[in-house]
Amino acid sequence: MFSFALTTALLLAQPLDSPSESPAAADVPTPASSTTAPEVKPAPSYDDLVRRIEALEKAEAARAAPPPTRSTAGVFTQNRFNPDLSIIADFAVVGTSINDKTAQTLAVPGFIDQSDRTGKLRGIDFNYLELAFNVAVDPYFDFFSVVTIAPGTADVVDVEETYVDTRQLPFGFQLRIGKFLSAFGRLNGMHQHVWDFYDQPLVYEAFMGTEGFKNPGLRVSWTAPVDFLLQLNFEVFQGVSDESQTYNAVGYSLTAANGTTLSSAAPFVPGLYVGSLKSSFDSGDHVFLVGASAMYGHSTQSYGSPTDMVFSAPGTILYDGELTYKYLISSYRSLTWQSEYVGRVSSGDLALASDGSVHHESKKQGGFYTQLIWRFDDPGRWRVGERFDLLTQNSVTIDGVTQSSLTINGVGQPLTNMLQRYTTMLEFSPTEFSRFRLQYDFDRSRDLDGVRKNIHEVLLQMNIAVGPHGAHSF
Amino acid sequence: MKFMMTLLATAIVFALAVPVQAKTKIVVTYPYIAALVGEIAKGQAEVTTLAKGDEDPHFVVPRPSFIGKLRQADLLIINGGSLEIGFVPPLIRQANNPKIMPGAEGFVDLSQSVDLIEKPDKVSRSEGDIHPEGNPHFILDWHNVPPVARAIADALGRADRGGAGAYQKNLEGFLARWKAQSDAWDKKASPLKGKAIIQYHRLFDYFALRTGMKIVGELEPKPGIPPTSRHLEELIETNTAGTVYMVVTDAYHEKKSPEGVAQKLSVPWAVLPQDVGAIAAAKDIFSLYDTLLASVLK
Repeated sequence: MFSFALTTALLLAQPLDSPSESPAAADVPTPASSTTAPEVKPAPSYDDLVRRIEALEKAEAARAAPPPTRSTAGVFTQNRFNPDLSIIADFAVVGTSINDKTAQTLAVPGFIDQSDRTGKLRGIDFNYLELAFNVAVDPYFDFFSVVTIAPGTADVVDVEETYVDTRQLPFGFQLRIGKFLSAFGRLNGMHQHVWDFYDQPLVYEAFMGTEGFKNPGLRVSWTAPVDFLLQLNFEVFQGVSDESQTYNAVGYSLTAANGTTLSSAAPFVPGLYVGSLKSSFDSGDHVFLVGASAMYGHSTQSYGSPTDMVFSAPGTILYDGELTYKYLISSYRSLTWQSEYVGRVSSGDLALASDGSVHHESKKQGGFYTQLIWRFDDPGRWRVGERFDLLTQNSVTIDGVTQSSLTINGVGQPLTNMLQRYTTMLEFSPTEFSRFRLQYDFDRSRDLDGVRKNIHEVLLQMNIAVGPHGAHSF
Repeated sequence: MKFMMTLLATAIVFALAVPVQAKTKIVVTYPYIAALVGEIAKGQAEVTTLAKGDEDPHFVVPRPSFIGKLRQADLLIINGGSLEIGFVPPLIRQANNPKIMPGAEGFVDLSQSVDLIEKPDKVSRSEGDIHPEGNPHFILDWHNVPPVARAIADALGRADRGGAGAYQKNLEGFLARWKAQSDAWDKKASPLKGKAIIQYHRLFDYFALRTGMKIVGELEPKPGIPPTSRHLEELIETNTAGTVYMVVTDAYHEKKSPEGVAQKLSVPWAVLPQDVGAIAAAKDIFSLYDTLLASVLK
């Protein structure tokens, strides 16, 4: 959230109109009429004189002209109350070592089913157009909304976030109501255009979904009155989301090959709870940020197309530990090391379509990423970064028996635990409003019909953010 | 669930245990504001400065620990004129402190107490990093210090009504000392009248206006856009007539371009402080202007 770059100018612009600030200004001498420097006043410059003459001419013309007819056309015009609008567009040229059809059907066994995979497409991609609105509702609330249009065969409009934040709660509390990205982990709350790489780390893709977990919900956050950062967030979400890789609090209904219908009742909603703690402190030019998060809710995952099995696990827990260290070398240069571990513990019913049986399955999975980003030039237009992804734990037991592979629609998928990916990027930002990124990744985490694939991808991404000035990221 | 409940309970306990604050807690964005607060509050306030003097004032890294400091602040004093647009708004949002929200009494924008120059008629990002409110580097004219000091004293008085009398007294003392210095600087600056300078960024416009120096160009082709060799060549070509007096730059930009241009034009170049602490000699609000003038009076 520190780098939530959509935060914009309006917050600062407001006091310009605030009458409470003006009395101080009114009785203050300006340099031109200053009483503090009567003797030696530098001669006005030529430009200054021209300006003064023009001003006088204008004043004279105004006096000579007949009084203007008063127009009432603009009386009810309220443009100045319009929200700040940022527009973000993202394009990429992509080359991969696998064809588009294969890219869409790769699995990460035990984590991502092949029916859920959305890979990068070769060629020139128009990734998304994002509209971000931000305005103060009244003295009590701020309003934010992010609407994404993802072009494709049918352009998909997605209300990514729409929420209000309170402005006036005492004792450091803030309440958020609406649909929003959870504060889980370091990256979940960040929008796509502030990510350090083109895509999310593997652990996020595997557990949260490609765009992070977002849902209708409610958040209470509290900031401690201390000289470092200590922030607690508690969130309650509806918990129903077909975009999440883990949480979807819906009942299932599966018709088996032998005609039996396997089903469960819909879980109680809202049923997803998130708690997170973040702390940050500095020592000179060294900045540390640590955090811990946990998510608890009902998981429903289906495998295969057509659906071959459904895993329904109440009380699924995702947990996360994060550590970021940033060394501020100069005004523009910095070195950032960021790492995060995410784990998942879930157990529940595994319903099989093949024979209509229901078994008890339990999973313990986890992985991490670690990345280094170096902003290396003056004035900070270039960045280079390296990221290493590794899924370290992938243990699945069915009826107490540890499994070495999953069989989905008759195809066995080995449950490997050392699934890795290496990503390198080079970034050039001509200004804060435009950015080019060249990225290469070597991906050893995907399976095609049970066979591990080596995938190479190269892409050139362009991202523009127009409108109000965004915030700099931490 | 237990973990969540514990978190929430901890939050509530901490929140109710907020200690009563003795000193007024003030967060300021730049060192010069801290220096002025020091002159007026005389130890009656606890001041936190977000930026360092030798940092680019446009690009201050929003360290998360600033959120904790803003959370406790009674007053937030900023330069204004969009100089802090890249780092203050997200910090204010995260700090959840109604006292220092824009529009609240504890939010003080110093640019409101002076007249800004170079207010653009139309704004477009194709013109680089421009500020719609005008040039925000107003503090480099020492005649802008008294109105700014008054605004600070008023704000301190509002935040700590009991101390208001003392702050006004300290302000008057400061203004009297300032008047003497200011007169001396005015006299000292007179030889600079009409001298042509080239600067890196539109940083010293107020200083030039006060001293009567003429700015004939910037090393940046447009505000915030780094120098290109073509632009520097053009700058050198149009100024070869021997009319340029000096090339000036700041503490945080690269020094190769100003040095190169100065060499080509056979004129001196100098690093001027844009804030207290930008260079070692500018150690307080008085020596800031001493150093500024000494650097160009060579």
